[in-house]
Amino acid sequence: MNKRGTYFFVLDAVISSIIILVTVYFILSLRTKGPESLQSYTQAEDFMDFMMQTEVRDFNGNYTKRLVEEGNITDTRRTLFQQMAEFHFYNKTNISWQFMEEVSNSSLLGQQGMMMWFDEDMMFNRSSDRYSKANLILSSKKMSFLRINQTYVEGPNLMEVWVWY
Amino acid sequence: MVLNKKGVVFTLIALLISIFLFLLYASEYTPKEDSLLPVIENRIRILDRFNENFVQYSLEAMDVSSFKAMNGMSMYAESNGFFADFAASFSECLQNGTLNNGIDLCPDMENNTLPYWLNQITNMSRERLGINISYNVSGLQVKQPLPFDVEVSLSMHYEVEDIFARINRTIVLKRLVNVNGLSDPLYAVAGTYTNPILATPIRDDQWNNDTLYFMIYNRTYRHHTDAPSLINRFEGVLMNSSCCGIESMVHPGESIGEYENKSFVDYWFWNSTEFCGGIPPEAVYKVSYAAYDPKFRLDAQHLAAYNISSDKWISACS
Repeated sequence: MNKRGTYFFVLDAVISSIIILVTVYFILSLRTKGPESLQSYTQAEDFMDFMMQTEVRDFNGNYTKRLVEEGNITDTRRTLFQQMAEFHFYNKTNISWQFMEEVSNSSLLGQQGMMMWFDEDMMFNRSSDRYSKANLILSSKKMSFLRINQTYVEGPNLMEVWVWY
Repeated sequence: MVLNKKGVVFTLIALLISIFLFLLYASEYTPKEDSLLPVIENRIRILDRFNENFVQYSLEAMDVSSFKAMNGMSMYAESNGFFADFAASFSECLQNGTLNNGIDLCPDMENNTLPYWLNQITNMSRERLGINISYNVSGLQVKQPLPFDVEVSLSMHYEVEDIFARINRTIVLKRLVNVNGLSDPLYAVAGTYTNPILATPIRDDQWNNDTLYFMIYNRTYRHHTDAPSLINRFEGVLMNSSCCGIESMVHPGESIGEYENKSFVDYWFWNSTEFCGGIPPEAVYKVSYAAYDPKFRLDAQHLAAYNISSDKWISACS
């Protein structure tokens, strides 16, 4: 093979390699650039649903059981969500924080952060140090109301949860 | 020429491989969802949950507002007498906070009418959740199916809407409103003191001197088929209600005026019915039980109803 032939041979090999690489890159990029899964979008919403659909009596937590035994929780048919609203109404901030810690530990992954707000009051904060570095922050807002007695309904208030990774 | 063909052979092979890979990928390719779709789905789910919450809140609001309306009506009755049409007055008080066709305010209904409670949620949802609610209430009905519960029902047409979805429904809200704690309108109008309704825990097969004593001094009420219902009491129609009649005993320790020939069963006593026959059963009886106030009397029918015997009947009216 003369010198010109060698030149074409190398050029041919280079061009073909580029074509293959571009093709593979293009296909791989198409595969990875799909939208985030629905599960990611609904993490905060799922957590709220869990709170709104689980009654205290069905939640298996040691701290929660202690609260029932000590009389800090009087109606175990209330949902976890309603229980938080009740703690807020009676200004039991310390209890509500620990209660929420137990609930979030049971339903969120260790590396996930979470904040809960009741109107303007922060009720709970989990892993706040990682909040500023979060890749994705998800929020869920729910209307809250609580029947206090025969003549009064507390609310409507807004309960908001942020979940992040 | 041979050299030139050999010069592009890798390129040709690479192109063929690329086409093959594209075809392979295309055969497996399913169009990805619109990237907004999960967001929209989630938003619709949120709206659906909000809708459920709105209905629950409306029921609670109806319950609270109904109780307040009845209590307000009882307060109003204290100085204005019984209501000719309880249902119409109740509807006006619940929805407008007024009575007597808008002439008078229904007491204690400021910030307690049903529209007030429902507007709380419509304002909050619009301002803080971006969800608009419009509603229309009609066909309010009230009846009494149980002694200590009044059933309130209404038809509500509503729309819950955000930028992605709209829920448009007509539902019937129905709620049993417990009347424990409500000021008894019979006492409010005809009595000398007010008396909140409180159901007795005593069962029908448990009546005797002790339990009647408990009932009198704890000011509780029992169901009795010969007694008037709560709605009857609001209207001052003291006829019997087999399903829902309730009665209490007038407390002998209160300032109650003339009592000599009266049975202390509330609707007899406050109706100023005197048992003047002079011979049984048209007479009232004192009860032979040391703990009782000597003023206390019962008619023969109620002695039997409370499983009490007495022969100390009072001879006749003076």
